[in-house]
Amino acid sequence: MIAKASGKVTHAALAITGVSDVAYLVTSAGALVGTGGDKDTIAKAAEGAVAGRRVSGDIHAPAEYRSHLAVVAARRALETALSRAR
Amino acid sequence: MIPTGFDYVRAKSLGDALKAINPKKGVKVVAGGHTLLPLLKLRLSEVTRLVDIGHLKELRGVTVQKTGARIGAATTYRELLESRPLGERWPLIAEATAGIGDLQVRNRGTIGGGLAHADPAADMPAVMLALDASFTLRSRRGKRTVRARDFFKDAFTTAMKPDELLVDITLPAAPAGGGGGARAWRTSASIRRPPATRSRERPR
Repeated sequence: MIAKASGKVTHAALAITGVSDVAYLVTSAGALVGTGGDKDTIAKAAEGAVAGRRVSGDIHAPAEYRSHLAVVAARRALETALSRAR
Repeated sequence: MIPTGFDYVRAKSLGDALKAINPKKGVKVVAGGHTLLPLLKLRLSEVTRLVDIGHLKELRGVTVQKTGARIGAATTYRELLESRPLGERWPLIAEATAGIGDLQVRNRGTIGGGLAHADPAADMPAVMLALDASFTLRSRRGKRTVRARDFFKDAFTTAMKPDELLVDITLPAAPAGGGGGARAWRTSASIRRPPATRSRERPR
């Protein structure tokens, strides 16, 4: 969830599910606040998607692959959310 | 599979339901049944008595105000999708809800039931976290409010005490214009098969 005002991010919340034993908030998304939300800043915020989390592995995706997907999904979600923010 | 035998009663009121809850004696509540009934059928859970709370007015419906929204715990996913003010101000909820199960599941399944189940692969807990929702928990002993970030403790484990019932979900005011929400991919938690075949979309 991202809110913008005058071209700057005023609020950013990123939550992840299906990755660990419990859904959680990603604190690194807070780094977007005050920025214009450029590509590098988003990528950096998404990098923290699984930081400090025990990532689950199963028949659908082993932990390593799931961690990779979580970062990709986080980046895409932030990009889309930013493009929708008004 | 077939669940073990149990009694079924309809609660007359919320107070009635709160009095009846007694997990130690196998008395649990049911609303949509789209989480509990599959578990009973798989015999991952057993009950002696189910107290139906799905019809209780005080647990149903969506109220949207300037200061936020209140969603009754027994509000079905379909009712969430049908609430235009909710969809306009919190499009993320509609986006996530539309991806839950299938039509039959959304017709019967309730937001509170899904949240209290706390499936680690469910979408809605993450949506509640991102929107900073709070949950009202009631029991015979009283009432308390727990923020989503303090509610989900572990896989299938929440901050709820065994005798507590999730009665409503409160959303703080959405950012102007609804903000920008986005969901990356759908997850695999949804049971895309209803536990009973009697649910069917009503013709409009």
